[in-house]
Amino acid sequence: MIEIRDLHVRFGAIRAIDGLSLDVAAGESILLAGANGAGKTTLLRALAGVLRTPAGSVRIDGAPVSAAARRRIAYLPASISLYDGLTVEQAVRLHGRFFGRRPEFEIGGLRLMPRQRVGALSKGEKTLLSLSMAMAAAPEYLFIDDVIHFLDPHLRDVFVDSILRLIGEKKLTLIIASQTASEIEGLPERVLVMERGRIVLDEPLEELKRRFVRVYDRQAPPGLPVVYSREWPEGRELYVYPYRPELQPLDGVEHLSLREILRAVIGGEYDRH
Amino acid sequence: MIAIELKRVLKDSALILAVLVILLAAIATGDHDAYLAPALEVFLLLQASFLGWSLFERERQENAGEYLLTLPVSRLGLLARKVLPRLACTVVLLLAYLALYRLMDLPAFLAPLPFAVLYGAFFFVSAALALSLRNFLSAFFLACLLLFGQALLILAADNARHLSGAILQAGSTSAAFPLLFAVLFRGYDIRPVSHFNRRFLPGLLLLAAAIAGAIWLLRPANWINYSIAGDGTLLRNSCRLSEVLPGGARVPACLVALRDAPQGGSLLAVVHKPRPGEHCIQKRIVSLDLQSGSLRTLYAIPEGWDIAGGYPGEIGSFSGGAFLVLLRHAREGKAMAVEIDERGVVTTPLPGAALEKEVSYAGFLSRSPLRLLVIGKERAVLLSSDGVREIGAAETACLWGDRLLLFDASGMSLYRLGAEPDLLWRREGRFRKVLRHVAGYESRYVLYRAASRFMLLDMEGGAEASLDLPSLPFTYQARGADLHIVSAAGPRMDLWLWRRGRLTRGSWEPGFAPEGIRISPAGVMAFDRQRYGVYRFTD
Repeated sequence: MIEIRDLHVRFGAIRAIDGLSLDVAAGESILLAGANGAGKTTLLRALAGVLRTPAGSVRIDGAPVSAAARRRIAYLPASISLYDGLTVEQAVRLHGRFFGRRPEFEIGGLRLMPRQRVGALSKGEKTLLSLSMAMAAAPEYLFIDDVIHFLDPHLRDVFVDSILRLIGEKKLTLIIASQTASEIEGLPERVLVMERGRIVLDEPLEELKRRFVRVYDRQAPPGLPVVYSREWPEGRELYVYPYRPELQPLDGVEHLSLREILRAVIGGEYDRH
Repeated sequence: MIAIELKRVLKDSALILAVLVILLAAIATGDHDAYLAPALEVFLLLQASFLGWSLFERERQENAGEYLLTLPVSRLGLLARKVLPRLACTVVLLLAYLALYRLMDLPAFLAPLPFAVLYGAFFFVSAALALSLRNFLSAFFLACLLLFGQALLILAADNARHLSGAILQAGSTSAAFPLLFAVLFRGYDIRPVSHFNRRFLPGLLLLAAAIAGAIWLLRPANWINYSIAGDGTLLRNSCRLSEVLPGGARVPACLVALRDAPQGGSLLAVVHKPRPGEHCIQKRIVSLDLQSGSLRTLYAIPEGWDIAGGYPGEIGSFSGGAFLVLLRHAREGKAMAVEIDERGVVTTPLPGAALEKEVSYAGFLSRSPLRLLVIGKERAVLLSSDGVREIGAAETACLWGDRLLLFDASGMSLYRLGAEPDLLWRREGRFRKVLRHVAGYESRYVLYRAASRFMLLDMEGGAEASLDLPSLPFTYQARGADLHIVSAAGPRMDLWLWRRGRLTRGSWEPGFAPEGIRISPAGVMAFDRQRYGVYRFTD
């Protein structure tokens, strides 16, 4: 169980997190989305305990994120931070000393050479090594920043399958930040969209898909909650949320993929600002 | 993690270690120890500084900072895991150096203990700068500034301190910097280091300023001189402060005692103004109230003029209700008498060019007409507005009332100083006066050596006696009809009392090795920079 209350994080004059409150139940899988600079990485860092939070509270299972709590947390930062000077074997051994178990050198058919320097690995290989190390620790909480784009299509599937397998094996709470939603659409149950340090959208994925629709200008009655619109020669596309059919039945309503929904939400933010 | 760190430490410091090995080899095989051995110390300090500064260098270079913070270890635990291998390496190197220092008898700037403290301080202070400064040289120079700056301030504030003591103190108080770092590191996170620096660097500056302020405010008074007045009052002074004891009344000026006022309760003193690296300037003659410590200026000494001759306690003299003092202008060869009384100050020019260059005593015989007795290095003269009149050759002298005893190379002569000096007697031979150290010429009794015997002459009655003293006394003082003789050797003093023709021996240990001894009719005092002891004479 994750409880965040009135969290504020500032970097100088910039409010990276601005009064954010959030509850995440144990075992939930959440996609964290938002435009660049929305505060996703900052939120994940606060959850992983690498960022101190002087204002507000972040509690995991009722306690602040202490050294003991970090033993139950696995965090893959977007920087894929590992000791580049160590060999894969040394990195794995070092990680195992702190978390108790050693990861595998082979993930989804990709075998890492134990004697190879971490710094000589490709970004994708480092990402998989990080995931392997994270999973080996059998975490209860897995926080993954936007790392999927480092992987090729095959390894993306391997990555998602590995996480799904972990979710299947134990009650894992997952929060994953990603800009490539189509690749991980099978993972999240709930979607959070951040904008300027705040959560502006928080819906279960199925509900979001049901209530987020696209209509065309000529079909749209006035008063629709339009999140985003796009101009085309043949007319305007309107992205509507929350759409409630019982209030305003429309013909030609299109339900959208997660990728399209996120593009519309984020595009709407750019239009507003 | 500790093993990995240790490997990294050895790899990082390999170059400096190589230089150290080369230096050691050069010292062992060559004859340039005097230059190379201190260079070894400097390189060791560099190495300690580098080991401390490179605490997070690996994380910086290998982009592992975020990974480090995800480990299930508290911040202080992380810090300990990073510091311990480096500290172990530092200690091993230090022990190796100290062993070599002993075995090879290496010349060194610092003794082993202060060097070890400085070495450790360089390590810890540089470690405290590990996050904040990305450039090693900046960290090393800042560590130098924090450590040597403190040591220099300690030396400036306390002139009794030696470099080793200052280094020990600076090294110890520098523990505050890594402590501040450790406290703030508990809140360290992934934010840019500028966020950490916003708290650490002002804290570091505040701490350095607080340490510097404490050194300055708590600095000892640095007493450099003590005087004991005829009534037993003590006056001690530093270059900026004087204190009357007992009572502790303090005067913000460097006072040197001139003479007890005849009515008691006050001292006539001269205010000195220190000049770095030069003799002090005599600024003014003041009256110091011994009860309240208040000062009253009697006469401001003009620039270029100095009081001529004399020991503390017998400079100038009282005559006809006035205090009279002889001033000389060394560069222009002038002299003048200054008469200070209730009505004010009267100055009278005197033929100073006729006097010897060095005057050791100037006393006033009469105010009207103005006549002075001046004793130089070679002769005693009478000085008046009309000129100088020689009394006789004098290597040294003794004065009591109107009697003047002169010692010269071929004998000694006793004069009565009236309108004209009147020779009472003269003895030919080798007579040497026993000097009254830091006490002067005015004494009822004079001790002198005739052949191997110590003789005593009572200037008041003319009686003489032979004294059975085992060694040359340091000083002596009459108190009424008694004579107190002091022989000093180390921390113990022999105090002889000559009373009614009998000599008895006593002893006194002030409890420390004195740097100076003062004597007056009230007693004898011994002092070093911060301690003093008084042995009071009794009837």
